[in-house]
Amino acid sequence: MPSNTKDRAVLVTTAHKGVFFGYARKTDGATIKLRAARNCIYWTTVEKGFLGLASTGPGLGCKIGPAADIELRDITCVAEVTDAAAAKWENAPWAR
Amino acid sequence: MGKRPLGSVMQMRAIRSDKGFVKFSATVIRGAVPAAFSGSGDGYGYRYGSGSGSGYGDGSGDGSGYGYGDGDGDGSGPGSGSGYGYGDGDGSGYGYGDGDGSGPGYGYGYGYGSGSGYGYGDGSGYGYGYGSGDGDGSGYGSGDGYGSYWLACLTYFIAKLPDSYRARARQLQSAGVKLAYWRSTAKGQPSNHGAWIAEAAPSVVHKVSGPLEICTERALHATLIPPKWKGERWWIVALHGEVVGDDEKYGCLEREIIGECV
Repeated sequence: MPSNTKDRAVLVTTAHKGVFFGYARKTDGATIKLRAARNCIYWTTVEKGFLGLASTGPGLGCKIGPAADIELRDITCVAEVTDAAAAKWENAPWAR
Repeated sequence: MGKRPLGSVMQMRAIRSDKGFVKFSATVIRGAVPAAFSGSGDGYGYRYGSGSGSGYGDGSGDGSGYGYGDGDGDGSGPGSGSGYGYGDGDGSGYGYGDGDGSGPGYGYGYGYGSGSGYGYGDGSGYGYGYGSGDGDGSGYGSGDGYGSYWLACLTYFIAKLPDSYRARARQLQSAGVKLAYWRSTAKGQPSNHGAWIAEAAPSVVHKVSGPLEICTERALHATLIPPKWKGERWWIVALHGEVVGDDEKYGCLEREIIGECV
């Protein structure tokens, strides 16, 4: 398990149905700051549910927003993103 | 679905398909799977066969199922975001049976996806059938609770503009002019019920007459939550003068096209 003092790749969902990938140093508290956050605008059945985005990463059919540093609130779930999945997030092009 | 302790490993469902079982797991650090993104469906398989006398019969049947679920949520105003999601799944079932004599048979199956599904199968002869289905949902998620994500993304898009457009964007930002997104058709026309206007292109300025009234023809619109709207092309626009509305929809009387999001 990565140290909590180091950024780690996470998938965060919010009560507003936002699904974000990004790097967080802290994942507790009311808000989470995400570095280089990517918004998953759309995902397909290939991902086998949204946690597939954390386990295997976004596939070709997904629509992913560009990277931005943000702070999220109303957190509903934080999942650890595997290295393989993080690589797919990093390489996913922005898609409308 | 209940909350899980920190660091717990939540085993995702076992997906059964024609190719066998596919399993994966994801570590949930905090919280639980939001109901909006989880779904389940049931499949049901059924077969009935009959025969009489002696002999031998066999049969097979195929079933299919499907499921879907949907949900939506909206948020507006500073400090809120919105998103919606839905999922659908497929299920399949099959039944088979063989034997002789007579009698009914049935089978059933179930599946998990989002929404609901069913499968069925039938065959001749008698025996039993079994069907199963599975599916997975797709979804949308664009809300972040602030509308801040797409505001932050303006920086990303502006950085990719040609020099002159980028300079114009920064000039307007420095002057306190509100920048936002506007989505158009492939031909640069409104894609969300707006009237015919000058084709969108960098430096084009759209104007309408007041008094300003959002959601009418007396307003030019823009947004900070572009996934909420339709349109093949995304533009960064500057809203001049009085601006009304919220992150989801702004209105003004003069909208300057700065550049296209690419």
